[in-house]
Amino acid sequence: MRTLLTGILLALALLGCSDRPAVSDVELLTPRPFGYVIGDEIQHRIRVETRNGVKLQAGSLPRQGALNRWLNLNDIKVEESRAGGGFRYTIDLTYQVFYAPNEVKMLTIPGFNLVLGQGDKTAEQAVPAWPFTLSPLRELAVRLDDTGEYKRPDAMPPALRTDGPVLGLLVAGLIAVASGAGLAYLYGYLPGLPRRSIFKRAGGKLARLSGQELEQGLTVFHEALNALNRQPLFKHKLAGFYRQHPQYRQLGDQLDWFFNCSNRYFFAGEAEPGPEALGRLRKLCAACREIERGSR
Amino acid sequence: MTDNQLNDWRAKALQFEQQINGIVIGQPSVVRNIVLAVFARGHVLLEGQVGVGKTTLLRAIAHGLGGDYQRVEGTIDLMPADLVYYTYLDEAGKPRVDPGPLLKQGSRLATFFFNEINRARPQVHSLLLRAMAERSINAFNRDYEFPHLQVFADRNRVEKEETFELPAAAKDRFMFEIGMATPTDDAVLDELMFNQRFHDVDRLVAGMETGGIAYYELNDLAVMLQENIQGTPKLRAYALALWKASHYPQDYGIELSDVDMSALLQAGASPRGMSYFIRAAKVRAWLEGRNALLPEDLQAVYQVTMAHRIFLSPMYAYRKDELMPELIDGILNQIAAP
Repeated sequence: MRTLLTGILLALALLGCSDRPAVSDVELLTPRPFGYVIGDEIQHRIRVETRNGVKLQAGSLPRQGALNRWLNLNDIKVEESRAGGGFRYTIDLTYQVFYAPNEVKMLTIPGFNLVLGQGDKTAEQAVPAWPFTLSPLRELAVRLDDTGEYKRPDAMPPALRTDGPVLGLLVAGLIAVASGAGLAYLYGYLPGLPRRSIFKRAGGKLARLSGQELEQGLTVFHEALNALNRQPLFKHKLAGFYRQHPQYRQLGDQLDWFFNCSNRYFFAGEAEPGPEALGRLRKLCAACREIERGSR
Repeated sequence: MTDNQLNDWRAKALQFEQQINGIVIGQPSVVRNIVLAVFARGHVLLEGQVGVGKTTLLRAIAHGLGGDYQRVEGTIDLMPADLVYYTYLDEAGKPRVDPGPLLKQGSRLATFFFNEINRARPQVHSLLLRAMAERSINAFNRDYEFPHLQVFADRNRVEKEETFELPAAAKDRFMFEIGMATPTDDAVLDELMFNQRFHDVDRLVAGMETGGIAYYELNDLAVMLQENIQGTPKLRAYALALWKASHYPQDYGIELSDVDMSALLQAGASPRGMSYFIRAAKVRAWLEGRNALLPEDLQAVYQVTMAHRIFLSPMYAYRKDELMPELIDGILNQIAAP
């Protein structure tokens, strides 16, 4: 429960000022004033809106640390923002009580004055003291039960169910492993799947050939096509090959060029300009590699 | 001899092929093989069901080539002498002996049909073997030469009774054995049934142009053609592998289901068979308009030149119809060219 003390505070503020009040709005938000025990923390919030140009003097706030024998100010936070011509301050105070009462006892968190200034003029805004009641943790006389035990720790809280997170972890792990395997498959890194890397290997071999080694280049690419087709592939069997591997149909013109070039070189005894043909062959192999990876 | 001449001849050959395709419809691959045999100067054994057009095809070829032709029906009582001469009484009542069908036209004989060759006795086969291999026979105390002779024989596979299986030596003298199946295309069948044109074979064949290709020029053309088209070392290596595979298919990784490959063959293709094989492949390259022999030429003629030269061991012979096409396919599909 929070108590709104706006009216009182505003009246006090108006009393403290002569002509123009420095503060346009003050609120002290407090929790319930009863039911506390030793060690409890109590949160207070003060909201202050100032008039034109009036600022809060930070030195007027209570210091963090022990305020008296039984009261500690653990934390103090001030937020400042502009509001109209002046400022809006939100001050959060966290008190902790260390009083050990023998019976329910009324205590008071002391009030203090906020100092507000504009230039060399200052005004004060009182934050009132806040009374509350503190209760003992146990009866005064120590009573033992049948087991001879009175003070004991809390029962252990029930463990949180971990089925969901564990299942999530397993699923995420599976997805990660499957994605890794899929990528490796696409990139041809899996040793057990050499059929996915036929043109990768052929491309590697082609890259190592010099411009004059056209014969080896043609042979390498023939072998790659034969491996893909699972039997020697000849030009007049391309139609059947396209039925089996329709994705290679888009390279029809280039494959025709390759077979014509190979036929001319191997069977008609015509020499092909080496570096040019080899360059074209490398491009064709790269295109086949893209199809092999499924990225074309 | 120049490329121009070869090109002119090619145009004629393709026209010849086209004309035959108009007479025997629905059999383009058979016609292509027959044309290859004509220009490679090889003898042909045709095999097929009754009435698929074997005789019509051969008549069309003979008509197209011009030259004389003879035709003999194989029967169980046919003797070699019946081919060489025949005897009769003339008007004056005197016995006469005249040359028989094989000798009658002398060196002008260009096409000789032997229908149902498997019905003739082995004695007749042996006479024919000599005529085919040497293009000559001895009769009336002299040799008769047939420089332009091309023998076409056919046999049907329906009956087995009263037939004599051709010996291996006889089969080997045929360049091709061509199987002729009944067409299956509905349009072709419909045409054959309802188009009047195909009902009268005499008129059908007579309607074909003749003399476009003269039979007496074919031998010279064949020589020129064989010299003009050559294979590179790579191609020779490929052809050699194809030949070896017909002897030792297991060495080339060829596997057939339920077959011990090392025990499959009794004999592979003969050297004569291989020379026929290359000759036919060169003719195909020429018909395709190339000077270079390609693997596809060898593949196109492999089945027709090889299937009748490869002999399965007796253990597998009864599965010949099933195993032989598989073996040929296996060889063509397993051996890489370059």
